[in-house]
Amino acid sequence: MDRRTLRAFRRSPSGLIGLAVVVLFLAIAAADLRLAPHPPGKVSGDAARLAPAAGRWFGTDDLGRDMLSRVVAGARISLSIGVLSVALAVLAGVPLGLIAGYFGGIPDLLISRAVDVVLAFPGILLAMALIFVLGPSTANLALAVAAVNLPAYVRQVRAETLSLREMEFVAASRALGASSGHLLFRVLLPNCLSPILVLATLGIGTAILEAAALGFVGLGIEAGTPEWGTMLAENRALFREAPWTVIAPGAAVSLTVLGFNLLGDGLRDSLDPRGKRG
Amino acid sequence: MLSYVIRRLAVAVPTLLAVALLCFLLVHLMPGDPAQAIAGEKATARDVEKVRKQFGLDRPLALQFVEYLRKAVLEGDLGRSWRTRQPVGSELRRTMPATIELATAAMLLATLIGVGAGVLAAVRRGRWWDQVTMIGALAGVSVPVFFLGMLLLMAFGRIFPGGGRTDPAALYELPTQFVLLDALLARRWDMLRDGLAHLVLPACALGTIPMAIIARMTRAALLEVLGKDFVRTARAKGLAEQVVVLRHALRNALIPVLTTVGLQFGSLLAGAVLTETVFGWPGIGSYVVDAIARRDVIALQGGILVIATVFVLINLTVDCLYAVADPRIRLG
Repeated sequence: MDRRTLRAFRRSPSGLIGLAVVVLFLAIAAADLRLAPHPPGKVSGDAARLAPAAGRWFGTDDLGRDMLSRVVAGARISLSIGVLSVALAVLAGVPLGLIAGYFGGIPDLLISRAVDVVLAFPGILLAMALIFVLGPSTANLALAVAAVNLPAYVRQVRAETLSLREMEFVAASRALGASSGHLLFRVLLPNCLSPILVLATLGIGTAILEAAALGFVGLGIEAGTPEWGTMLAENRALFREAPWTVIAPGAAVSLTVLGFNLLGDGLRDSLDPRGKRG
Repeated sequence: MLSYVIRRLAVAVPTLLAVALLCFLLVHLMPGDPAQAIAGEKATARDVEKVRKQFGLDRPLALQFVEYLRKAVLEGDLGRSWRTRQPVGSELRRTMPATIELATAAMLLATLIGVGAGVLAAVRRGRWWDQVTMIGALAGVSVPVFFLGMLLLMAFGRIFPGGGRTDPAALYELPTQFVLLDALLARRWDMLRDGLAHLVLPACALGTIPMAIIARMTRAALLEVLGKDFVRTARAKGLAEQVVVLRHALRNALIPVLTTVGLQFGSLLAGAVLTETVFGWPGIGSYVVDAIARRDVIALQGGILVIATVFVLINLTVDCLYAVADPRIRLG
């Protein structure tokens, strides 16, 4: 990121708020259980459904487990899944997009058609089918969410590559005898980085939402894990008598996703000088 | 125009085939024996063998796929749910109207409010209404739809009933399976009121994400058009600002907005899976989630196939409508 971009980003209040929220949740995830006042899985029958109060800031759930501790523990799980799945999607999607855009022809046809098929499924449904087949686990959850979001990266990088391919500096590198690998990863890739960065930032938010949705329909990680979506599902029946048991994890998901969305929007505005700013 | 539609169809058909193939493979990709998976965990060895014969699972995969396609397309036969022992095709036909009703209501709400808010935000660009709308739109896409559903139930659960499509005590006749339509046809205003009251909260929950996206899209499209020369000309002619915005600018901005509306309608089906679970709405989404919980693979397969097919068809229709609206596309 160059100076001009940084300056533009510093002038975007929503981007800065997003950055602050993201950093806050990353810090919570990093500190993990040191911030949790109680062990997140500790069941205590005489402390069931306690309303929020001093010492029990977010109250307790049906089994007397401390909600604050569970939400804190969930930050690490949800953020890991978000970051991991986006990393997987970028690692697989970017080379595919570069290849499709640069070589064209049959590779492009095969890759683009495969992308069309994946996009023919409503995202969450494809992820559900994948986890149904693979079985629920953190790795499979990240894998399923990555698979669903892969097409976005392929399409974006392909489109960028298509227009970059025709530019003079690419032709110059080719004339100098650069290999395809050098052209793809040393010449074209660095010029696609800004849109990838924006897409990945927004993508982490989407991934966290999708992972929570999968947890909510019972396709998350093992039951009882303090994953935000799973917590919402477990406490669904309690939302009238003990609303704090759903508000705490629900607000955590919403805030984290909002943070990534604000940050992504801010990055897009500052990276794209042509972008229309409101 | 026709050649454009044919070109789009030429892409849609292989896509649909691939969708069907993936759904078909769902049963075979499950760890373990597909016959065992269909027969259920408690089935005896003899039951499993019976299922293997009955479903033709002892035949080559390619043949099985052709047979699956033939039955699904020609006979609407998607197999039998192992849990209810009912044909999945007819179960889906029974649940589909509930989902269509919900999705249509959500989309109407999202389009009306989304376009309205987007226009106001563009006209008052940079002022507080714009800021509030855009922050609201960003929050709208950040809140999980199932959490929003629970929040709505907490806030308005006393005013609006939250569960099912109608009062469970009232036994209405539903010849078309669409509650509102049947109420109108039979002129049962109590039934109409009951149906609408049950529809409000789930439609709000489901409509929020498309509403947010439509509002952002409308604002961006309108801002772009408002900077064009013909708008300046219209203003220079001395037309009232309202006429300039609504009659000249908005019309031209509506094309990308309409595409967004169409595409969102498709993704509403996915959102319906989660919304229906929260509100106990007996649609195809609840059916799919129920199939997952009971590991009913045939029911899940059928549900996913139907939703994905509808999704592809809606996107195809939107593409064609887009071409009707914008000559640059069909000629380009």
